[in-house]
Amino acid sequence: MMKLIPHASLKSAHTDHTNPEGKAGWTRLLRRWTAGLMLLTTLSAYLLVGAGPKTTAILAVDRLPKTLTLSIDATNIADSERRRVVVYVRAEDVKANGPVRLDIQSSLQVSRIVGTLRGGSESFLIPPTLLDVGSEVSFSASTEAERGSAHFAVPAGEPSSGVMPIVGPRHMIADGQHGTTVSVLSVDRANNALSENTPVTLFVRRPDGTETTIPGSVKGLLAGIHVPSGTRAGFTSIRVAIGKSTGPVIQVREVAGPPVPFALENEAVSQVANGRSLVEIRTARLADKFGNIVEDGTLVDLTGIGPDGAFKLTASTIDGRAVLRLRSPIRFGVIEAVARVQGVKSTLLHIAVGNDVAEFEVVTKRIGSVVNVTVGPVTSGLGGFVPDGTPAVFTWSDGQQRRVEIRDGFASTDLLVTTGDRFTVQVLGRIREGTTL
Amino acid sequence: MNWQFLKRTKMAIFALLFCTLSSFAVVRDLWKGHTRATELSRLLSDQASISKSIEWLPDDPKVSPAVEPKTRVLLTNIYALAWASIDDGQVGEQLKQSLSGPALTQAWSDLNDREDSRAIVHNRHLRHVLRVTYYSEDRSIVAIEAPEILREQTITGGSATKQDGLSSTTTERRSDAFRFVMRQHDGEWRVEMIQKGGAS
Repeated sequence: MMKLIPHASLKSAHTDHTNPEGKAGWTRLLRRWTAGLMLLTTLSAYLLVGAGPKTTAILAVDRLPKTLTLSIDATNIADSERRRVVVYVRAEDVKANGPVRLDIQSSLQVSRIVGTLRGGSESFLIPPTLLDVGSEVSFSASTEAERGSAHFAVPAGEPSSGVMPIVGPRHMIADGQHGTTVSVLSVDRANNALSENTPVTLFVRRPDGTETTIPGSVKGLLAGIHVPSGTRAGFTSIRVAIGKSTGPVIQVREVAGPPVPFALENEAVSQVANGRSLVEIRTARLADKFGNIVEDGTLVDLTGIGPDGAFKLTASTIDGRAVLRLRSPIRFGVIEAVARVQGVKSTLLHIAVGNDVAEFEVVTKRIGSVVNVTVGPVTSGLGGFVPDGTPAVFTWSDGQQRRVEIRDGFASTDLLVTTGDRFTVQVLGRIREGTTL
Repeated sequence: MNWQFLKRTKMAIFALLFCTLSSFAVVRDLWKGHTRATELSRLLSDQASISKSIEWLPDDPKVSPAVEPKTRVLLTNIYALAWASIDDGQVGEQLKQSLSGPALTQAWSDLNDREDSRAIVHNRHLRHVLRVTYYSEDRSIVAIEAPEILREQTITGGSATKQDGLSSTTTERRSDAFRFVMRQHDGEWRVEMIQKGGAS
């Protein structure tokens, strides 16, 4: 029968702290809460720690005086389909009976199966799927008091078809000293790396048609085989074979090394300093010491000094040659140039640049305080007018300069000057002096 | 009058339903985001922990060219991330960040293995001793041998249950040798092959 507690009594027990009876009730309640909390804490601790050892057995050899002996009986190891592995577990006590667990550890997978010791021994037939690993498998047998372990190497199967060589670098210098590496990461049907010392053969066909074979073997999951370069530029083809398996043919390009020292050429009979025509400088055909023509696009740096100062040009080769075009200087003199390709210097080239402007007249007219200076006709080496726009530079003795463009062979300028001033007129490489007298 | 009331009630129910579903979707997305962030955070923490346990032995004298210090740092990070990703089977997508080729296939098949005998393993990585045995001339492939990988393994499940009279969980320290191949894909290193045993 349910007994109802009056609401008022509940209120006094919980809230009336001044009442001695109420205070005692509050203390009792506090004690009960504390006791409850302690009980909960103890229970939690028991569940976390106390219950642990019952489900967790810390296995350490030094704490286990008795040991289990494991022996492995394997047949048809090399044949993954007919492979049969039995693990026998034997206890020291020949009368031992009871459950025994067997942990099977491969590279990443751990499996656990359970058997029963009868008369101190038990045998486990290992499922073939747990052995399709091509690596070492560890077996650990244990009971609550005993433990033993054994290792077993499972050979990898036949390499899967389509052996894929990884070749790098794909370019090598055809000098017989450089080379490339063929890394063969082949696997069997179950994705296992091939067994150690599995023979690998490289078939190499050189650009000159000669064929060689390079033997290698699997070491540490892969076969890394160095392929030295030949001395003929072109494509070298490489094929890998492991037993009956093979893969695609990979091509590696053999390229010419740095060229031997080379000459620079300038075929023009005469060069003139007109500031607009081009001075063509070309390299000889660049080839390495084995006669291999350098790759198209090889950079050629040309540096030099001419009547107008230093210059630098860059060009790339086509069919072994590079053509560099330099704008003709405006002053006559000698151009000296040298080219560099991959650190190799060319011979020094000298180009004489002649004056392209013939002697011209300078006429001075004084009109009051203004002096008019006219130059012309200014002609080129062939006798015709220099091109319109060619500058005539007037320089007075006080340093003043005026630049006037020549039109139809003539240029003139007016200037307020004092009597007797001297001046010079320069048209390209030709300089004339004059006076305003 | 009744029709108006019914109409309003219907609208109110629809509005309430819409609000409830929207709130649910928002909460679900927030929770998903939180879960992913937690997973990633745990993964990075595990990666950092494994990185600290790695010890590099001098490279094999035949290794040429020499492994650059920056490359070794990258290899260390990806190696640790690969182990952290393999251990944490919940983040399958993360496997692709650190594994490729046969190793990825191997890890995927391990994740998707539903055989009764498969056990759940929790690894605490104590020591990874690594040595470079091969570095390709184009610096894109590295072979590593690990003569010692010391782990504390807690194994649960498999066919062993309490009903067999055995503990369902065991913890033990084990030292294994491993071999790895790491390969550079589009500038990123990944573990291409993992194989237990065989290191000299």
